[in-house]
Amino acid sequence: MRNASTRPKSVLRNILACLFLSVAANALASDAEDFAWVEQRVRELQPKASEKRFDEIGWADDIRDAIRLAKQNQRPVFLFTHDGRMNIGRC
Amino acid sequence: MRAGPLSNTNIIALLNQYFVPVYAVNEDYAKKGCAPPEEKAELQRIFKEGHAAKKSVGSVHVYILNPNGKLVDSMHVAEAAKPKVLTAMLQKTVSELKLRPSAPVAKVRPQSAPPACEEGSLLLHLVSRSIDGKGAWTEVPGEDWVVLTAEEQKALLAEQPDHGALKKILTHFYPATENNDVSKNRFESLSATTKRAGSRAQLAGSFKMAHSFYHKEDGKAVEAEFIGFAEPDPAGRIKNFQMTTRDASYNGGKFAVAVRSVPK
Repeated sequence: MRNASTRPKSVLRNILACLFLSVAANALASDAEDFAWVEQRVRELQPKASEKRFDEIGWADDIRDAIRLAKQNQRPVFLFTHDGRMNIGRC
Repeated sequence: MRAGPLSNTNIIALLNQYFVPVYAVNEDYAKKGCAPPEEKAELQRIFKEGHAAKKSVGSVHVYILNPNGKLVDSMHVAEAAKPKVLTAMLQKTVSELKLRPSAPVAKVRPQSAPPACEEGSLLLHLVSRSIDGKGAWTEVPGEDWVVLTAEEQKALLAEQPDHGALKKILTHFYPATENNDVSKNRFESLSATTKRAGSRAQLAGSFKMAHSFYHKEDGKAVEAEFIGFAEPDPAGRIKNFQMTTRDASYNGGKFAVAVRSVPK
């Protein structure tokens, strides 16, 4: 049988345990929400097919390669000179 | 050009069927640029031919060379960026040279290609895009590749994440600008924490990084808050990684970055 004088301590322990579990559950839920948010945002920010049409062109490696292919295939060269890095969209 | 004529169905077909398309990054062809001397000489030869023939010559231009490599036409980007104008230029060449259509002669492949990676390294693909169309070039998202060694992955998972490993990723957190020399970026502040989140580690923090729009120092800086998750494998390396910006600004505009690990 429990002694009446120990009851408040036991109640306090139970309250603290509940509080701890509640905080832990909230933290886990918050982590899960953050992870889901990050996952979704990373997915949404990916380049769309319409933004990668540039990749549908068969580009030569460099000017000399282009001229070599031009002579070999009797085709003209289309050369575009630019600032920035067009291939990675940083232009 | 990339978002305009070089994304136009008719122009893509013309280039693939009749031409050998190639692009040259001016920075690489400059005196201190990384292009081989023979490449630089070839571009200079084209410029000289253009000047001699009194054609339009400049750093951001379209040049048409005949099958022997001789310059036959050129156009400033301001004109070439108009799909109708560029189409007419290409069709004129096709007609004058009496060309017949055929398959592309260079392999059609992604132009943003991952670098070679060592065993145990982590390959990350990064996308940066403008949110509000301000403060940077905004037509297409920028992409980068980052490779973390096994040691850098472990350092990133530490209770206090290693700033060196983190900066290797964060230095690419800027929108599309002409300056892409990340060695010039300067971190003015960086705070980051790692905490356990179930089987993953959550990385979060904020930073301020000086990044000039052009190559000349201009005082512009990125300010961003980021959050990411790394899933460690039993060896203490990272098997899955995702990171994004909660908020990021540069030069009066907002942008967002996404980083994710990709299979090698």
